[in-house]
Amino acid sequence: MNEDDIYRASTQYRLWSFTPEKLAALRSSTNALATERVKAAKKRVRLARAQQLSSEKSAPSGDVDANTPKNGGGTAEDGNEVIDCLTVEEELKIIAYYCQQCLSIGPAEPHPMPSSVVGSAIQFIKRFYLSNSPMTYHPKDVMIAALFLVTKTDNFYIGLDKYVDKINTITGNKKMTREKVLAPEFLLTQALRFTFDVKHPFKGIRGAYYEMLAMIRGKYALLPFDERTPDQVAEQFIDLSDAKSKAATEARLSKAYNTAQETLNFSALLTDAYLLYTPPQIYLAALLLADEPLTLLFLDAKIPSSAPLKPKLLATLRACANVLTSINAHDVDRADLVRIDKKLHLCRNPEKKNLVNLNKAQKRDELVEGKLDDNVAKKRRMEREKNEREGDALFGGALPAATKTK
Amino acid sequence: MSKQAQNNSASARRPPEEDEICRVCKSSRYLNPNMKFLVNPECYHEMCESCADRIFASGPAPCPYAGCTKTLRRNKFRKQTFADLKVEREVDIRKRVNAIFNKREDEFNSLRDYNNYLNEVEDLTFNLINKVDIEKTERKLLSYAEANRRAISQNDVRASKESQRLAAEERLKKEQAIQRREAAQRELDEERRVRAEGKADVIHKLASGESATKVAKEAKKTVLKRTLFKQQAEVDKQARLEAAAAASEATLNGDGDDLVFAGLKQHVEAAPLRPYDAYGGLAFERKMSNLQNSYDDGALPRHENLYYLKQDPRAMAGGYNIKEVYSQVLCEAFAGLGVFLSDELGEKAGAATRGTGTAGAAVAAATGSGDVQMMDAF
Repeated sequence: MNEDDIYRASTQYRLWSFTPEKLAALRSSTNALATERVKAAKKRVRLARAQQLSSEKSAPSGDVDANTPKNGGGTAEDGNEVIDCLTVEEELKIIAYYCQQCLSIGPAEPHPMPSSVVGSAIQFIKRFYLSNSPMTYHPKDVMIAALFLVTKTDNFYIGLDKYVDKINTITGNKKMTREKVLAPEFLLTQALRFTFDVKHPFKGIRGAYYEMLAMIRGKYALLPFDERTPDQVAEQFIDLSDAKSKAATEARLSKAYNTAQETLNFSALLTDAYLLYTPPQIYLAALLLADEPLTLLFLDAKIPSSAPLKPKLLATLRACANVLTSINAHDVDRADLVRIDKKLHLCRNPEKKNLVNLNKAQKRDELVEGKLDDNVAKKRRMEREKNEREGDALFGGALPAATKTK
Repeated sequence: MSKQAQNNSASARRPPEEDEICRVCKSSRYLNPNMKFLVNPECYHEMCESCADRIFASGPAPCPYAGCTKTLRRNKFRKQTFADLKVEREVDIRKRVNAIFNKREDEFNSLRDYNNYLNEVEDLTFNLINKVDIEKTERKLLSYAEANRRAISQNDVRASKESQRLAAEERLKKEQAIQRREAAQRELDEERRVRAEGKADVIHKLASGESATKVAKEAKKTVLKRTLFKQQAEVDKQARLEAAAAASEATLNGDGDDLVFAGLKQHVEAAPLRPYDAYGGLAFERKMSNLQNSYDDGALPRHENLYYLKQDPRAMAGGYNIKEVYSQVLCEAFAGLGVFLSDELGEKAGAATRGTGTAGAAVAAATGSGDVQMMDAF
């Protein structure tokens, strides 16, 4: 079992790795399905409302119109209104925006989270929206839940109250509640197929740094195929820097490391890199972007140049580098985002809007659509009391009061 | 053993008068009423106890019988169990052979196999008893004993446990019988006493002038009462006995050591315990790096820099192994480097989990049986 087999055993490989084509197909099918369901749900709601109004002896035709003035498209003759749903690209943009929000909320005070933890949250959001659409579940709700879920799965537990406090402090209002954080949690874990492990490139790049530093300092333990001596390797590295000195090369290495870290902390998290490439490929692509000659020298010491693996790996790394450069921190099109957000507001699935109530409805004796059916409530209460009585009988019940007086 | 000696030992019952005379010292029971005769299983020549003491007191010596060349030792002499020394010798041989060939029927796959085994053993025994091919047979016996020493001793232990269990059962039965007898006796006594008392009571009442019919009626009533009571007692006693039987059964079966499994075909030896391997035989082989004991941290940012950790005795005191960090970090640096998703996932395209539209469908495909109740994702 070598390093690659270890990665193949991970859920990231088994469930959350895709080819670009598969990823695109998956997203478009999810979008199509969601669009269908949004339309169906809207129709159901409209019919229900019309029935309710007609039963109140109002003029039915006028009310249907009165209920749907905001839907932009108006009403067609057969009752099918034209709903303008989000396209796949628009969905991706709004998800990317909320992922970016995650990056600013996570590390902010109070209770700042480390970047690998925030990175896991972003991957959770991305994985969630592979099988769900923003039209069904709003990315804002999912982002808040993902960021909280990740505190539990990535060993950075801060507690629900502190988390709510953190969100409220950052947003500056008191709108966030415990219920809102928890409501989408089960949906999220289910869409993640209960796999919470995200393999990050952060540790891997540290390993590469250790080894490159050892190479520069002539302490590197060569692999069997390599016929050079450690000093020869060091020389090759030192030749890279203009000053031809160890210190200069080391400075160059740490500069490349820091640049690559920045890429990993931003582009790698926000693009689809985690879904398309493996962690070592991601960090090597980031290093390649930061300092190509240095990275190539490092790869020379790891893979023999004659191996067929090498050109393939380089091609993969360059493709990954292209993915990493496809996003820029500064080119956020605010106007476009506002437009998409407005559009999303109109095409959200009305049945899934209030996640808090949906969540409550699944719990015992909680409200369904604001109230619980009286009969159901009575039946449940009776059942509970009966169970308690039986429990008492099993353990002998309470002691008689008479024994106290004696 | 010479022909002569053979004839001596094999001589059928001697005349009774000869029975009383030691053939070595010629002393007779008439002179010495406490005389005991001993034999040695080497040659089965009998002699009196004092002869055995005298001749073999200073170590091994040849048998005093004329023509017998066996060398005997004092500690092997014992009292003979059977009058016929031929029988004595056969029993000894059978005992010895059976101690070695102690396989049981349940160790064989079929009755036929077991019978073949018994036949083989009987052949060996016959050879030993009748002195046919003695050397060859002995060799066979010894080599078998050597080869199967473990199995033999295991069966030996099993047999002794079984006999212990039988003995315990026997003891318990005897105790129960005694208790039953005592209880019956007590009951009989009690009944006799009560009857006598009742009679005395009737006489006393009649003597004190009560009407005869009334007394008779009362006496009948008490008799009735007593029979009812007796019936009840009988039922109780039955219940008690049953409980006791169940309890004794439990004590018999209760000891885990005494468990005997029937129908055990092939005794499979439990594999010897190996040292625990957390990875179940999977070995991790580093292909992409050679792990060194220590790495320089260089200019890593402080939260990643192990230099400070290495300096901190609080961190290191608890047994924190810094090499584990290097091991993990270097493993993650190359875990998946040679995994090309676009190639490998293309190969796996047939797998049902890929390319399914919704998480619900994917999960259903993955779990197959659908034993997890999933909410619809939409």
